[in-house]
Parts: sequence; C-alpha cells; structure tokens
Amino acid sequence: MSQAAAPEKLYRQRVRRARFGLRLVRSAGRKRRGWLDRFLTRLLRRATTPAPGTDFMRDELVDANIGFDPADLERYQRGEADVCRRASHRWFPSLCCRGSIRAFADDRADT
Amino acid sequence: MADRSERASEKSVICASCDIGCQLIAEVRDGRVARVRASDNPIMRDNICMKGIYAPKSFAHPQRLLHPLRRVGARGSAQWERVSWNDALDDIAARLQRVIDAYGPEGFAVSTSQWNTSTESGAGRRFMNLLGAPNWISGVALCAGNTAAVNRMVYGWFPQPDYSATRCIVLFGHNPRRHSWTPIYNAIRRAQGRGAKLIVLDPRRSESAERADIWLPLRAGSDAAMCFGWLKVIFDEELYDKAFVRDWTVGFEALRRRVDEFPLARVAQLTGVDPEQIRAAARLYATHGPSVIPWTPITDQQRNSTSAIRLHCTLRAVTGNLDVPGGEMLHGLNPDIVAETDLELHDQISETQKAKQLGADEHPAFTYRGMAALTEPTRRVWGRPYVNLLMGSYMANPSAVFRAMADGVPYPVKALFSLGNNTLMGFADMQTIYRGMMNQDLIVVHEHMMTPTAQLADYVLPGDSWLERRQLHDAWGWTSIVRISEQAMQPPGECRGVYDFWRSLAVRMGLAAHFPWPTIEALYDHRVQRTGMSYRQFENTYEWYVPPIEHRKYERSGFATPSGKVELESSVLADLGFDPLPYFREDPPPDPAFPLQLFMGVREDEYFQTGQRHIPELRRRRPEPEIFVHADDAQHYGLTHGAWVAVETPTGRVKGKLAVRSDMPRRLVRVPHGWWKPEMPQGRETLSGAWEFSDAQITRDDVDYRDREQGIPHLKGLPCRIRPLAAETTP
Repeated sequence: MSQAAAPEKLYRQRVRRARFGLRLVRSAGRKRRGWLDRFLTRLLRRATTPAPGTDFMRDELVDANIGFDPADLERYQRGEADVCRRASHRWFPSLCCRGSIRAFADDRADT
Repeated sequence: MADRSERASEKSVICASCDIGCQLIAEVRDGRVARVRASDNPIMRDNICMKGIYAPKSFAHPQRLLHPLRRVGARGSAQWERVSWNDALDDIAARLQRVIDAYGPEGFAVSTSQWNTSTESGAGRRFMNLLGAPNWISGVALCAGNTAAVNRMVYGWFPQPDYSATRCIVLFGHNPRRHSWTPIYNAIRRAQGRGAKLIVLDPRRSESAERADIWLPLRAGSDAAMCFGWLKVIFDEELYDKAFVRDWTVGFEALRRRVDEFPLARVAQLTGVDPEQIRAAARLYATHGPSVIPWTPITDQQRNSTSAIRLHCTLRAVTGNLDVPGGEMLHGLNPDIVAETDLELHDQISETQKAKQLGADEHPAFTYRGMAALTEPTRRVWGRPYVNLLMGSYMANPSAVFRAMADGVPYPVKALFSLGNNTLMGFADMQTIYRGMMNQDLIVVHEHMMTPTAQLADYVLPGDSWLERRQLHDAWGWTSIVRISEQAMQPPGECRGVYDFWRSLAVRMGLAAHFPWPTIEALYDHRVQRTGMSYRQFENTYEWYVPPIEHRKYERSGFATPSGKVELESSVLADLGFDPLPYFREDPPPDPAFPLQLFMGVREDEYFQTGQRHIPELRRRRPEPEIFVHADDAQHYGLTHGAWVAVETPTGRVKGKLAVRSDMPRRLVRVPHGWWKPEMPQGRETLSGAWEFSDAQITRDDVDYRDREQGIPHLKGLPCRIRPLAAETTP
C-alpha cells in the first residue's frame, strides 16, 4: 500500500512528528535562545549524535582541520616565497605555501 | 598552525564553494578567516567538505583578481591595464547602451548563476527586465533550474525531499559523498540508519550503489525508459494511490496506455537491466513509502530529459508522495520575506521582448513562452504570477544564445556579461561559444580568478566571496526556510559584490529609481521588513528562519497547473506543440567510428564545476583530469592505467589520464567536468589549458543529441572513442 493510501491516522501521526521536528529545527537555528530552545537543541543533539565507531561522517581531513595562520595567509596572498616551507609545488612553484592542513595524497575518495 | 590560544570571533556563514550551501562557522583572527568548520547546529552536524575547509586559502590566492582590469590588446591577448571601478562602470554603461541602440536590448545577454555570486537578490534580472533584455542564461539550464520548470508543468512547484522522515530514497545516477553534496550524503546515511531503503540507478557501481538495497546498473541515458518500467509494474500490480489519482490527476488513462507500450522485456532491452530487478525496485519504491526521488542532475542532462523529469514527477504523484511528511514537500515561498523572484520584476519586460527570447520558438520548456500558461495558475495558488524557481523558469536557451552570438541568427547578440560563471566551459559546444565570444562588442566578467572566459573579456571585475559578504539565502524558492550568512571579513583589494555591480550600472543607465537601495544591507532591510526587524536584528536573531510548514496544501488551493491538478498528460506541452505524454526516444543508429558511450558532467570531490584548481592542496590530491574506463576496454584499445589518452567525439577531443576502474561498466567512458589549469599560459591560444582539457569541447549539441522540449544537450551516453596519446603530445 502506498503512502497516501495509508490510514489517515498514520498520516496524522507523521504530520505531528514533522511539526515537532520543525520546532526542533527552529530552536537549533536560533541565535538568541531561551531556555526552551536550549533544552530542545540538547534533545536534538542527543538524538542525532551517533554512537562512537558508527559515525559515518568522521573523516581524517575534516577532523584534522585546524585552520590557517592569518599571517601566513596574508603572506600567501602577497605571493611571498617564504611561506613555501613545506614542499615545492610542481604547478605553482612560486605560490605553494605551508598549509596547516595535511594533504592526503592517497586517500582520494571515489568519485 | 593557527594559534588556538588566541580568541577568535565566529560568524555563521553559508558556503558557496559548491551549489549545496552548507551552513558553516568561520573563525576570524586578525581580521581574516583562519578556519572554516562545520556548524554547531546538530541539524547540520559535520556538514563540511574539503572545498569549504580550504576556502580561506582559495580566497587568499596570490593570483586572485583584486582590481578591475581593462583589455588593452586584441581580444584574448592577455594584455590588461588596471582601471578604477568608476572608469570601468562608466565605459561599460556607455558601451552597453551603444549595443542596445544598435541591436535592441535583446542584443545583450547575461550568463550567471546566483549560487556563487549569492548577493544578487534578483538585481541582474531586474536590470535586464527594466531594459527589456530577455536573454538570461545559466548553468541551471542543465542543472536543477530546468527540472524546476518541468516540475511546474506537472504539479506547479518543485519539491524538496523530506529526508528526515522518508523510508525509501531513489538516486537516479548521482552519488552524494563525504566530500561532495555532503549534507545530502549525511541525510541519506542517517535515513538508512533509521531503516530507510536506498535504490540506486547508476551505470557505475558507485559508493552509493555499494550501500544500496537495490542497485540497477542501467545504460547511460536510459532513465526515462526505466521510469516507464517502474510505472508498468506499479500500474499492473495496482500499487498506486487510487484515491489521489482519481481526485488529483488528469490524463491517467492516456498515460497508462503510453506506459503499456513499455513491457518489462522492452524496458530491460532499453536499459540493460534484468526485469526482475526492475520489478523489485518499483515495488520497493511504491510500497515502502513515504518515498523520495531527490533531484538529480543526471536526468537533467539527457536527450529525453523532459520526459524523464516528468516521469519522476509522475512516480511521485501516483504513489501519493506529494506534499506529505517523508515525501516530496511543496514548500512555497516564505511569506515573511520578499522573495528574489519578486524583486526580478518579470512583469516589467514587455510581451514583445519576451517573445524574442532566444530558443523559445524551438525549445520553449523553460522560457517565458513555455511558462506563460502557468502564470494565472501560479497567481491562484502561490499568490504571484511569476515564480522563478531555482532561477530556471524564464531562461533563454543557452545554445541558441551562443549561436546568435557567433552567427547573428536569428538576430545578433553583441554584449555578454558573465558573472561567477565560466561561460566558455560551462555549456555544450565550447567551439561555438568561443566563436561567439570573439564576435562580441562587449564582454564583462565578474570573477575571482582569470578564468578562460575572463581571458576573452573586455573588462574583468573582481568579485567578493562568501566569506566577505552578507547574504540572505532563500534558496530561490526551493524551500521556504530562509538562512543568513554573516560577513566574516572584508573583501581584499577592490573586490565587490554583484549587487553593487548591477546597481552601479543601473544608476548610470537611468534606472536609479528602480534601485532605491544603495547597499545590499539596505535591500535586505527591505526584504525582511515584514518580520518587523531590521536586517541586522534579523541576522542577530536567526541562523534559519523557518515558517510553519503545511502538508497537502493542494487540498485547499489545488495545484498551480491549468487544470488545478497534477497533469500526467500536460496541457502546457500540448499547447506548445509537443507530445503531452512522456516518451522515450531511442538512440540514433550506432556510429562505428565512435563505438563507446561517454558519461560527462561529473564532479570530483576536490572541485566544483570549473573552480578550485588553483588550490595547491586540492591539486596535489587530484593533479590531472582522470578518465575512467573498464579494464576490458583499456586492454581492447591498448590503454595503460596512468597514461595520457584522448577522448574524441565528432565535435572535438579532450585529454586526460587513464584510470582503469573495476567499478566502471564495459563500453562506458567517464570524463570529469570543468578542467583547466590556472597555472598554464593565458590567452586565446591556450586558455590556460581549456583547449586541452575542457569537456565542453566534446559535447554535441545537434538535434539528435538534445532534448526536444528544453534543447539541453545529451551528456549521458554520447557516442565517443578513446585512444592513447603519444608521449610527445602529452602535457
């Protein structure tokens, strides 16, 4: 049996669940949070946090993202050679820079 | 390494490095964004990819355009002089006026996508509509925008899948991954974790296919035939929602007769998939709902695209998945925010000028002509006559515009503005686009880098980035949830937002009264005024602004189609002179000179469209374009893994490094999209490698290989051949 042919009761349950979900989304997306928003966001966080070891969103590159030194970025933008400390780059010999993020040459995901 | 002891300020930003728009946090130190990370909001947990992470470095690139440049040599000679914004805008306005005086406003075309320019707020279309210029084109003509237009013909809006409660997800060819379409990947995996089923249709055994409950390895370009097979099963086994079909659709019996032309044995022959697998997938989709068929660019880019999109719509409708929780939501616009589409002033351009929109005669689906019959239904249901969903409802046909630029037929187009849009490489038939660009009186490009398109311009203007501007993001009507992006740092040099560009030009061309907002912030104040807040207050209060969402709205107001129902048999297409029912056009007879099939338009994790090749870390990960083939084909054609090869079609060839892949089917060649090399020499002879690597050169655009109703090119299953390149011809 297809969705809309499902009993009306089931449909109404799903609508109520969707409305509650939307309330959670609203709370989580607010900057000025009252106690209810904070409480609901905590509930949401708990409900959406996967158990350790099952988190499919863990990723070496993302988890190692510690950002850049603003001064390095400034020098990089000016094209200064002294930021090329890591390795020369075949395509941008004058432009390569000391990155704060590790490059993972061999872990390219499938495309 | 960033000094973590320093206290950084944090800004909530929306990434525009691809078209997904992840909500991220920018950490700011010393006036610079030092780190971009995923949002703390649990809804968006971990939604960030490598393109977002490297954005601070991308925008700090030493070759980023920081000042306006004017061409001083011949077009494409790579000779420039720095000019002030005022001088550039004065001259652009004067030269554009000369083009309009000589050729009419239809002699002016704009190619852009508001995804990456972000702060348009409809200003470009507003400017064009006030001038009477109908020839706006975009990559959304073959990516989402066209789908939105075709969806409107069926049920009046473009749905957004409700991943949060769905029980079955169908991926037609696309492959969301950890670093590509990350939030979709996240949502699908979460849904699977809750028990939702996944059906993947892909010629290649992709990552998504590996995780699927059912994988249908269909032949490239056969999506419409497969949908007919599903409908055959659903109708024959009476798995459809009879009450919905009875009360809310028109044309069911006619559609059923068309579907009966596709017994599973025929569908199996057309798609190359076992009939029992087709049956199992159709049953799962229809019975394990609520189900979703998320939008896919794969179906957008086929010679049967309009029919295939309509068949997706049909499947959603007849199985009762429209506008229900866990199904496909028809959001409508946010009632409290002035929508971009309302700011575009589509009522200001005359019917005479609309009728001149290029391509509307032959391929009207997403043009003003194609959408005209939906004006009154849209007013009835959605309260406004024009809704430019995903920017895709009132476009000129890109190929027709390029032919007019190149050959002056049916009339000359002599001025092209390209904003955040590498036009030369972003559409089919790069050779014609190039001829057209070389035949222009005025080309203006608004960009970050000196792209191949920019190299052919008269003016190159430096654009700001998503870390450097405020944005109010209404998703162009796809959802009613509006989001904000804060400004995290000042733009470098003289980089400016696109709204500033359009307004400055409008003021110079006598349209100041229609642009009463001197800054984008003033315009945002206008857009949020119904909330009773200034934009600054709004920005400080919300990350997302979520209106109440109502289900089954059609019970109150019907669907925004001429009949008020889901049009399984389209009155709009019938009136335009097309088959009102979906159909499947089989491939032309095989050409022995091009015995393989080409699958194009695919993005790699590191890059989106033609961007990001200048980021050293990403180039180290993927230094060259990689062309995928099956091992048997490699052996048959004498190709070696890692060696340079050429892929050829009757229109041209591209180079790439061969990757022999076990996940590829036999006889299919996969070419990545958008390759050029920013480090290579500039100018028309080389175009920084675009002449060697850009897949736009091998895209056929002749009548056999374009969709009839939309006129978009066939990118999934073109005939091609592959051969090894001698060492001396490799880069």
